[in-house]
Amino acid sequence: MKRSFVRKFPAFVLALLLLTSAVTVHADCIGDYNATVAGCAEAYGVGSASYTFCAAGAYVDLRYCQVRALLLG
Amino acid sequence: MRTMRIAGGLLLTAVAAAAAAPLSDFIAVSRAADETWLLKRGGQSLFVQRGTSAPLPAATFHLRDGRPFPWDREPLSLVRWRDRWLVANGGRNLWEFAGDGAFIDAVPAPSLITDVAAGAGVLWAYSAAAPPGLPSLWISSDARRFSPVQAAVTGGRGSPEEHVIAAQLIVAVSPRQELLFVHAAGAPELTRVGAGGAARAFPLAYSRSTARARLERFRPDAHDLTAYSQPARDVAVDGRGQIVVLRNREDVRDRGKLAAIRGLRADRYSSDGRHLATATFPATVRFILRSDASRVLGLTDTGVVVTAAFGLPIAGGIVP
Repeated sequence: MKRSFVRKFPAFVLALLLLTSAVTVHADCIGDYNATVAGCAEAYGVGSASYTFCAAGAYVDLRYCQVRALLLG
Repeated sequence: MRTMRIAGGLLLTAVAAAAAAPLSDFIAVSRAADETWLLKRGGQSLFVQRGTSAPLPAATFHLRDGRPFPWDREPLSLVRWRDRWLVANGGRNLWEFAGDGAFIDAVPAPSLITDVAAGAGVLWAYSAAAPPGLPSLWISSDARRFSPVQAAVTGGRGSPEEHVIAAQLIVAVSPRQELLFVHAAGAPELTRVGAGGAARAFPLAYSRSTARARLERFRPDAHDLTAYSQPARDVAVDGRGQIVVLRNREDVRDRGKLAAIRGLRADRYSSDGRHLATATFPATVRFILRSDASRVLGLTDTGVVVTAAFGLPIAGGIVP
């Protein structure tokens, strides 16, 4: 039943998931709204590592250049 | 759940990104006596800045057939090496270009190089990605052969997060060909490293809250990078060998309340670390362009050239 509902309304389920996750923003995770990580044009992280930090109000896995951008802008 | 949270985080990040101020237009800087070269975001366009004028397009990094150079990832650091350019982008090569931006060669590097800094006849290369315990610093006199320099740089041995924070350096080269570095997140001090690996540090003027002062190293309960002690955004050496450090995120008292400022103050130090003067910019500065005894020029996040006069040194400290 559950699986068929998911198959029938995938967009609804995705939206629900995103909304659910959106309210899991933590009070201690404020991040820097000015130092956006979106402008980082790195194909993959240095050493292909990623790092869990806080950006724009949520915990995200950042690549190397994004960590650098958050620190230095 | 973690995946969900990350997906949500990315969505929020994208939404916030649309509304947020842009990142600095320029991602790397190379300073000469009377001009400063800046690499535009994306890594193709080199701009030159002279006097108090705005930066102007001067060259593009391109292949020999004229096509734009196809970066596999965005450059991180740039130096003028003799009549050429050397660019580090976190890979196992340094990328060598002619003065007009034409590609010359991929120079094999000893590690994943993230930062380069050059003095007269000496090139320093640094890897923020070097595993703990292995060399992360190299020196070269010809930009072909690199010798490791044994110096304790990061000290981070724990999680990837701890290491990546401890490994972020802002680098420059002193007139004595020493490497100068400040941790982008860490204690407010500038370290000088000689070719033999001997290191000496002196304190930097930096104003921070008690909470920020506790975050010099990664703590698992503190994932907000902006809350960390971040003493510097840029380091430059002027023609007389004096060192100018641009402060990064500071906390100051403003009418009794704790206020955050960023990239507003630059300090001039003698080569042996004496704090000589402080200048306060009218807007957040990303890069120091040049300085003399009386003033310092900076480039704001939005690419505007601003000037600030040096005055009496303003000490740092912990603001309760």
